[in-house]
Amino acid sequence: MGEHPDFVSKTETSQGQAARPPWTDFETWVAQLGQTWPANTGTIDLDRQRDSTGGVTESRIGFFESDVALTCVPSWATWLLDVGLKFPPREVDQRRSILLISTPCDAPAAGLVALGVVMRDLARSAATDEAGHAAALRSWAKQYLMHCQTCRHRCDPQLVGCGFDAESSGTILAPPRRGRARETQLKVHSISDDSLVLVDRHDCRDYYTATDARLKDLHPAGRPRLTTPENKPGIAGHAFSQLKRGWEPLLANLQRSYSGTCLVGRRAGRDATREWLARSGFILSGHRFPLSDMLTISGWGADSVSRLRYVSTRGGACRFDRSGIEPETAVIDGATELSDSLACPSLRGASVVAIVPRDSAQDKLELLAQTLHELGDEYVSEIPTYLPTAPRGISVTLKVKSR
Amino acid sequence: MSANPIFELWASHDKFVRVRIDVECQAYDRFRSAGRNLMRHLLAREEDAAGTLIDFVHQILGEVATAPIKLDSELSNRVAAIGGGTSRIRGQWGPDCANAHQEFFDRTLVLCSEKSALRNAVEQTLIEELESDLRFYCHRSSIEAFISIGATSEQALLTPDSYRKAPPFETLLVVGPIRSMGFGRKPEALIVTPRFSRLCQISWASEIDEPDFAIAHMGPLGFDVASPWEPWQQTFWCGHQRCVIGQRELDESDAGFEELVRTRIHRVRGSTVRGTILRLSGSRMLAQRPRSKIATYTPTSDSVLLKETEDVTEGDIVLHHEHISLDLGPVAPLDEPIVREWREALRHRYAQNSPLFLGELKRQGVNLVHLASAVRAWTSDQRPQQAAHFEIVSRVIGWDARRARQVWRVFSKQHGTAVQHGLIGAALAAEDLVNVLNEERTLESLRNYAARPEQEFLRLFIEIAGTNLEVRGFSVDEVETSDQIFEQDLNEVVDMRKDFS
Repeated sequence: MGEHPDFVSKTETSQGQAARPPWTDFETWVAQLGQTWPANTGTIDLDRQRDSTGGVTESRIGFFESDVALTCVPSWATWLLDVGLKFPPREVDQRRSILLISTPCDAPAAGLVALGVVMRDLARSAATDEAGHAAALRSWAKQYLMHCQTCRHRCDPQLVGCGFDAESSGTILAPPRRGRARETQLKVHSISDDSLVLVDRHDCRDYYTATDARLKDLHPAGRPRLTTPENKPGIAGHAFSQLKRGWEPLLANLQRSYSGTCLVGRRAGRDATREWLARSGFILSGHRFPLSDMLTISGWGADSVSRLRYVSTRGGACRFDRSGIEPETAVIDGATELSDSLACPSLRGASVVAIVPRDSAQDKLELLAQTLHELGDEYVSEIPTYLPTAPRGISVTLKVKSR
Repeated sequence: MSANPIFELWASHDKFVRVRIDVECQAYDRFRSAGRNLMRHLLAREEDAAGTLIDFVHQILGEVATAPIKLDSELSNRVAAIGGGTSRIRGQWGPDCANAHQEFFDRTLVLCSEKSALRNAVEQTLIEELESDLRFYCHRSSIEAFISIGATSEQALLTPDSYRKAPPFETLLVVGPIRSMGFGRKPEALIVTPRFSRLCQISWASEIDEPDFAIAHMGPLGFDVASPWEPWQQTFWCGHQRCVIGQRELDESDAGFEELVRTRIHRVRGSTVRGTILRLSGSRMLAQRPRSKIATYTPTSDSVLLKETEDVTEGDIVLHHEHISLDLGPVAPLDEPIVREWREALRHRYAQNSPLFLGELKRQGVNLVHLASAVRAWTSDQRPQQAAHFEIVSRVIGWDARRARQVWRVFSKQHGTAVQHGLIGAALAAEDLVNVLNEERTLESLRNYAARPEQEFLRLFIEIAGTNLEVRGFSVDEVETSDQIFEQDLNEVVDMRKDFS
């Protein structure tokens, strides 16, 4: 697939010739995603940049939470965003770390930290899925052929006990054929060590070798693409750029999916977590950008690529929303969810930022204390020197794997 | 509920203020001591009925300690009625318990004859704070005591969840000691996440606070429990006014006694398992095994969902009913020839000489009480439950081990299918139940119940799979995990205020 001129990566435009920024189509994106400013909240005074607690904020945008709109981003929200941005990726710090943040109440803290991590990854050249895409696609096709195709139960992997996270429908979407606007639907036909055979509705077969370059244009139905189509914009980097002065994404990353970072959602479920994160977000040009949309989780917003995987912990078992590379960073929302995640084999190597409200139920805090105790001597406490001083009410503790 | 006002409150307070008003009363100290003495005597009786009596005494002591209740004939009558009165206690539990009960009753009469200084102190504080934004945290059953001295039900915070959802306010009033266990225990959130500027605690002077309250849970989070607070401002209530007279020595035996009561009651009641305890409205509780599901109405989403008990939160309404399972029809028998052959061989051998055959089975180790009927069942559609029994039967009817193993594999497969059938049947029944409960008529009742927290429970009658089912809805006050749940209490809604007399 040829690169769209709007989305040439930063490294490829070092000739002094400024690439056209990807957010030239920002207004369209705004119209698509943002909800209009509620009539009863009046006009926002964007010149007022101090919150009511006196905290100075860096951004020139507003913040909303439930039905309350603020004309500037409160300092606690800015700090949480900073945590995600400054949390070191594994290429910087090889040791696994667990950063625990306690808040005085139930805040959209995990969403803000996750957004910071997404922004961090948008600026990292290593943060792409291209290397593992073909293998993930083949494994998904194999699951369909060997299990889901013949399964006689309604799909509930937990009840059936098949061990999979979710059903594989066997439907794969390929780029639109000539003269067509919609993607071509293909069905998995067969798979061998060196080939994958797909059929269309006319039973025409299409053969892909294990290293076929065309595999990167395919994606399972209902899951994000590896890269955005040529004629569509990627993630709107403009909104992200305004959140943090001086931050710039790699332009190519705005078009590419990444599955190395995940958000472990609340036990209440994926929809409840989404609903919770939709209640908070940023206000820009009178439009609301809920955290749920900005996180680029597959199926939550209008983005065709996803930079964050969602992990469900319903029932105590971690289930990823899509397959992908082994996560290297996980943002975890809650005490019980942290215990579930630390026991999850897929997250055993991931560095973790966990947000725990101190007013959580006592049994959840007990479980957390037990879980941290079980980490034992393997982890040592360190001071997170890369973080600015936490706002009052928030406490931070860092545990780093010593061996 | 927006988080920003809470962060603003924290940002605007260097330290939060806490005041403890100690109410000195010797009559109360003697009353408490006599109550505990009675509990100790009952604890020595390791019987189930003793455990329930101890609960009752514990509750009376707890109410007097943590609520500004009126000390009058109602209290003395409750004490007199424990165990059916002193004479019945003497007959059932012996003279020691009877004497302890009599002493407890006498001291209750003395306490009731004095006007409650604790109640006065709380009333005085409510008058002083009339203008300020005051809320009070108490046990659901104690709310009337507060209302009777001028508080309003809107000021009440009854559950950890109601505190969690409250916007910031000026003063929090708590009565009794700040402890994590026992009647009227306080949630840790009151101390580790203040949503108020000032904590006012009024307590009998002899009721000390738990020294390490919340520390065990906050340590791993790197949060210093004392850091948000100024040192306690401690005052004493003497007669009808306050006077500052310095620090009181803490009596650390209190927490130890609570622990003793808990562990001994457990020992009396027998084996315990791990699970989740839902503390429900109307002083009821429901214990369930881990990961078990229960139909739950969530007011925020206005729908009934099948939730795992660990996911149920305060404020939800759980819907309790008798177990139902849809009958999916008989499990399709796997009509494999080798199984038919095995049954035929067994039938033939049994018909030849049944006493001899059964004797041989018994001699070799099939020691079932009703062996003959079991064998007859095995010849038709059942199978031996134990692999060892199956091996013996196969050997006696002359089948070689290899072929017998094939038959056993088929049986195992049939058994697995049956279990899965049962699981799916129960899951489908639960889904049907949830569908019925999500009908508008039912949701309307649930909405009304959710809006009236004073109603103890809601009774619904529904029809599912041709069966009339009674479903009771209870509002959830608290959810906790415990590894000391009595097996007999599982899946039953237990009324903690049973008439023990």
